[in-house]
Amino acid sequence: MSAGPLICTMLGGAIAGTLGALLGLGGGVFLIPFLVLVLDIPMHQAIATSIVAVIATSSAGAAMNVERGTVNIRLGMLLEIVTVLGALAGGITASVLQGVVLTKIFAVLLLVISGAMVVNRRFAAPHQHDTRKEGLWLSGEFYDEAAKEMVSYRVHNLPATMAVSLVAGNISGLLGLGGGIFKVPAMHLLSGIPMKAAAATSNFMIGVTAAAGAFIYLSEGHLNVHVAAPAALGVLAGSMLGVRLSRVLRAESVKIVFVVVLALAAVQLLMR
Amino acid sequence: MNVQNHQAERWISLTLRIGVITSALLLSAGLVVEFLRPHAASPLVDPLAILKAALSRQETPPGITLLSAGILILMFTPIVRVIAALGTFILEKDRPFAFVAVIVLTMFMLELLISLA
Repeated sequence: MSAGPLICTMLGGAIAGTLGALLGLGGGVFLIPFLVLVLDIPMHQAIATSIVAVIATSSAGAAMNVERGTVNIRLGMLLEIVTVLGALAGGITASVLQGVVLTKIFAVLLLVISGAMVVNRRFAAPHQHDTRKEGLWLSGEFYDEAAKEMVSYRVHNLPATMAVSLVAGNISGLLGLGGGIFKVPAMHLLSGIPMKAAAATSNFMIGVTAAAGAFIYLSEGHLNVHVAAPAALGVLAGSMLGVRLSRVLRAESVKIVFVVVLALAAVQLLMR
Repeated sequence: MNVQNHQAERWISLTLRIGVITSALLLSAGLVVEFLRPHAASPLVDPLAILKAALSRQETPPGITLLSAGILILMFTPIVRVIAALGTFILEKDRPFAFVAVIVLTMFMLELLISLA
């Protein structure tokens, strides 16, 4: 094992983790194009690596969020039923698809994510002062450090959020992404969960969803431990740096740059 | 937020922390060992098979064994978290959500069986 690829993978993981944490994502959307386009790693291996890295960042982030009380544990567990089911189907599908097909699907999804990042900026937060009686059984509350107040909320329209979570789980198993880009807006816009609680709950769920798809990749022999280990450590360190940077950097101002980077990566992957 | 809820959150958080730290230490140690090994074997492995071989005292490269153990601990950390949540739901006598945790665990075991098959 030589120093060059080791440092390069760790550095790539750290950059992906930093960018992911800045934008509230797992980092897989940046890590997979880096592994495929820069290090020329086959798509199946890149996805298996991303799954391992996503579990690392999700577990580390969830440990902090659970302690802060921002995670709605019961809602997360309920949604995990459908995300695990989706991941299982995604993992099985990925094992029969060729690497080139997965690359094209991933590239198209990158374009969709870029579009979603632009569109999400225009949505306003619904259910600010919710007085409806439904959704009480999954209600939650947390202390918002920025606003310095307790935030209480109820969960509405659960079937719609479950349907989106099923798709997110499927994407996780198929392409090694956390799926937070779909779950967070769904929880926020469809179920009226405050953004911080939605992001924390989505991150909490990602570990179990990714682990569900991971064993299929592992049993197929797609995991390159010389790539997965430094990438996971890099993403872990990068996500910690990203969380600190997010306190001083405005994510909105850098979002546009990342949208362009993702779109360019998508085009390059489509042309491969 | 009641005291029981706070207790549950502490247990779940602790489970996740222990898993991530243990895994990171094993992965770091494994990378150092692999880096010092002059002719590393093929790194495309199934960690489950490597660990099974190591436990049955078959000869496996120590670096790959450490990396496989680190990756497996990382992958099982969220599952141990579900078990921790199940334990706290049972203690809280929250039967519906204890049942939800059992469903998640059952589906995961099913997935593990499919992978092993």
